[in-house]
Amino acid sequence: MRWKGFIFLIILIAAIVVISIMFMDKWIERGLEKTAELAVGARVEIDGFHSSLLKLEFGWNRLQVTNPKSTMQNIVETGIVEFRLNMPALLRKRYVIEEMTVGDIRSGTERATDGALPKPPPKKKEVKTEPGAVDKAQAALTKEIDKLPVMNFDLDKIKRKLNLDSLIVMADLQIVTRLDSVKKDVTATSDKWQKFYTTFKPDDDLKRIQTEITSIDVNAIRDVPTLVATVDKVNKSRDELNTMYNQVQNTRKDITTDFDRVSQYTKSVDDWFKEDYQRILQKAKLPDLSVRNIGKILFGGTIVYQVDKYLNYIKVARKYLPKKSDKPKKEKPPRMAGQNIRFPDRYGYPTFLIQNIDINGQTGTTNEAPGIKLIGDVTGITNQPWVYGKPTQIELKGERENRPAGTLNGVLNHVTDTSKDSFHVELRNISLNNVAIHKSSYLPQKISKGQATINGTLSFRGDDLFANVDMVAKQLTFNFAESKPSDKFVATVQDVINGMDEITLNSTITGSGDNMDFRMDSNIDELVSKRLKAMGSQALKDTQQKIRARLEAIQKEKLNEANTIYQNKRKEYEDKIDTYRKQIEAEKQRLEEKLQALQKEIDDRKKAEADKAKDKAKDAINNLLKRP
Amino acid sequence: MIIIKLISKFIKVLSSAASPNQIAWGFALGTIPGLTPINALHNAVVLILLIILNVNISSALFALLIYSLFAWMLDPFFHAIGYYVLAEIPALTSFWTSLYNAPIAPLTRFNNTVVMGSFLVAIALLIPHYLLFKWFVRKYRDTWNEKIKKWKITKAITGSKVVKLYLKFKDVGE
Repeated sequence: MRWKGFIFLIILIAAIVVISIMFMDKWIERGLEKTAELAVGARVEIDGFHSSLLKLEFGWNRLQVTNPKSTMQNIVETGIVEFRLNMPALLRKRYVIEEMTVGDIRSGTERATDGALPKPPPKKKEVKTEPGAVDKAQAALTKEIDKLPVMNFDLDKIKRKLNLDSLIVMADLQIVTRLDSVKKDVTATSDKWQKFYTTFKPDDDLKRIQTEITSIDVNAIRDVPTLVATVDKVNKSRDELNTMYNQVQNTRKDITTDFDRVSQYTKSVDDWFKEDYQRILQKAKLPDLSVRNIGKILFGGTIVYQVDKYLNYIKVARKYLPKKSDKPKKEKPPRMAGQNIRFPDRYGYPTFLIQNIDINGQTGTTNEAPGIKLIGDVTGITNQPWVYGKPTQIELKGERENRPAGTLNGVLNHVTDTSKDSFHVELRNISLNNVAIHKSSYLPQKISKGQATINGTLSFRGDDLFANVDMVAKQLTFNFAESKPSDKFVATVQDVINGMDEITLNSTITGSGDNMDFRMDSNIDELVSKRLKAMGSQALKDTQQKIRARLEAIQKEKLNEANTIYQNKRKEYEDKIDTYRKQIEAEKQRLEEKLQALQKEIDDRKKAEADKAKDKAKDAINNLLKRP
Repeated sequence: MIIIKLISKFIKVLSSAASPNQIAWGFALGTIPGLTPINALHNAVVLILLIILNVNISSALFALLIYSLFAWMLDPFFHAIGYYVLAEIPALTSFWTSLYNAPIAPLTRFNNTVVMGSFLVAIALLIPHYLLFKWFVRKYRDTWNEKIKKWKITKAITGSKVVKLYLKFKDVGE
C-alpha cells in the first residue's frame, strides 16, 4: 500500500468535488449549448442554468433556440424549465426524468441579437438510406398534387392548339401496341390449332371402323365361336372409338381454354381506352370541370402542406422513438465506437425517458398578442418505447380570452412491432384575420377577416395513412391585391371565392406507400363548376368528344383486326372438332347396336343348343325306360 | 517530447532499485487502459490501484503508451469477441441482464462490444504480461543492461537536452 498515493487520491477526489460544485452549472450549461448548437446549426442560449447534484435537480430560467433559416428569430423559446433525474435509474445509466415543467413555451419570437454561429458547424455527411413509409407517403402526396391538371381555361387558345395527329404522337398511345400484341396472341393461338388439324385426321380410322361394323352380318355367321370372335373384334373397335372420343373431347376443351384465355383482352380494352383518353387530355391540357378536381386544385396544396407538416413530426418521432426490434443484428461500428447491446430491463427504465412534461405556452410571439394560450401534458417520451410499455401522449388545450379555443391530441405508439401514430386537432372559432394562405395563383394571398372551425385527424398505422380535415370558415373577406388573374379560369375562381361568405372543406387522404387516394369536397366546387360550365362547357364537351371519337376510331380499327381472327378461327376450330365428335358418337351408337345384336344371337343360339341337348337327353331316358 | 521523456524514464526504471515485481505489475496494469477504451469506468479502478498500490507508475504509463499505439488496430477483433460474448452465448444472457439492471454496472459500458472484447483480452493477458515483463526486467538487468547502455540510440535519448533539462528541473519544488 502506497499511503502517499492514497492521500493524494483522497485530495484529488476532494479537489474534483469542490471544483465541480463551483463550476458544474457553467460547464453543463455550456455543454448543453454547444451540443444543441451542433444539432440545430444556430445559436442556442440557456440563461440561469442551475442544478443540485445531491437532489439531481436541474433547470434554467430561459432557453432560446435560434431559427437557423432566420437568425433574428427563435424557433423555440421557453421560460422556466425544471426537471429531476431519477437516482436509481441514473445508477443504472438510464436517464429518467419523472416530472418536467416547461413554462412559457412559444415559437417565432424575435431575438435581441443575431443567432447565427460565427463558424457554421461542419456539415454532416448525409447517409443515404432507403425511403421509409413516411417518406413514401410524402412523395406520393406531392405526386398527387403535381399530377393535377393545369387549369388553363382559354378555350380559343386550346382549340387553336388542338392538332389531334400531333397530340396522338405526343401521348404515345398504349392501346395500339396493346391491341397489336392481342392480335399477335390470337394469331399464334389460331396457328397452333391450324397446325394441330394438319396432323389430326381421324376420318380414315372412322371410315375403317364404319366399314368393319357394316360388314358384320349376324345372321350369316354360322357358329357361336365365330360369333364370340366377332364380339371381341367389335369390342376392340369400341376401345378404339372411345380413345378417339376422349381425344376429341380433350381437344375441344383445350381449344376453348386457349381461346378463352386470349379473350381476356376484351375485359381490359375499356381501361386501356380510358388511360389513353386521359393521356391525350393531359397533353391537350384541357380543363377538367369535374367537381372533385376543382376542390383539389384550389386547396390540395394547402391541405397537403399541412398533412406534410404532421408527417414530418411523425418522421421525427419514428426516428427518435424507434419501434421494437428483436435480437441485435451485428453491426459494423466505427473504429473505437463498438456496438451497444441492449438487454431486457427489469425496472421498466428505458435508456432515456421523460415520464411527464407539464407545458404551458402560447401561439403568439409577444405578451401583447398572446394568440392561443396552450396548457397540457406530454407523457412517455423515450428512446425505447417497448421497454417503457406505454405510448407517447400529447394533450394540449388552447384558450383564447378565457374561452376554449381548441385541443391537440397525439398518440405515438411504438410499443409494438407496428408503429401507430395519430394526431387529432380541433380548433374552434379561430381568427383568420390577416392569415396568409399557401401560395396559389387561384387563392388570395391573405384572408383579411374571418374565423374558422377546423377538425383534423391524421393517423399512420405501420405504412397506412389516413388523414381527414374538416373546415368551416365563416364571415370571410379576402385580399386578392397581389393575385392578378392570368386567365379566365383564375379570374372566375377568384371571383367566386371573393363572393363567398362561408367556405366548407372536407378532405380525406388514405393509402399506403406509393398508393395514395386524395379526395376533397368543398362548396366552392359546385359554385366554380357552375360558373365554368356556363362559360364554356359545350365548347369543352365538343373538344373532348372530338378526341374521344378519334381514339375510338383507332381502337375500333385495331380491335376489329383481332376480333375477326378470334371469332372466325374459334368457330372454325370448334365446329370442326364438334363434327368429329358427332361422327364418333354416331359410330359408337351403331357399334353398340351391333354388339347387342351379336350378344342376342349368341344367347339365342346357346339356348337353342341347350334345348336340343335337353331333348336328346329326354329321348335317351325314355328309351331306357321303355325297355322290358 | 513526452514520449522521449517516458522512454528515458522507463529505461532508468529498468535499471533502478525498483523490484521486478513492482515494475511488472505496473506494466501489466498499464496494459488494461492501453488495450481498452480509455473512457471506461474500469480504467478509473485501474488508476486507483496504480495510485494506492506499490507498483511502478512509469512502467504502467509506458505500457499505456505502447498498447494505445496499436490497440485501435485490434478494434474489429475486440468487437467480434465482445459481440460473441454478449449476444451469442444464450447461457450468459441472464447474467448480462442482471448486470444490465444492477446499479453502477451499466456505467462501466460492459454492454459495449469493444469495451467487453478488449477488457476480456486485457484480463486474459494480465498474468502473462506480468510474468513476461518480470522475466524481461530480470533478463535486462542480468544481461542486456550494459549492452543497451552502449547503443547510440540509448545515449541519444538519455543524453538529449530535453531529458537533461527535465532531469535538472524534475526535483524542483519537491
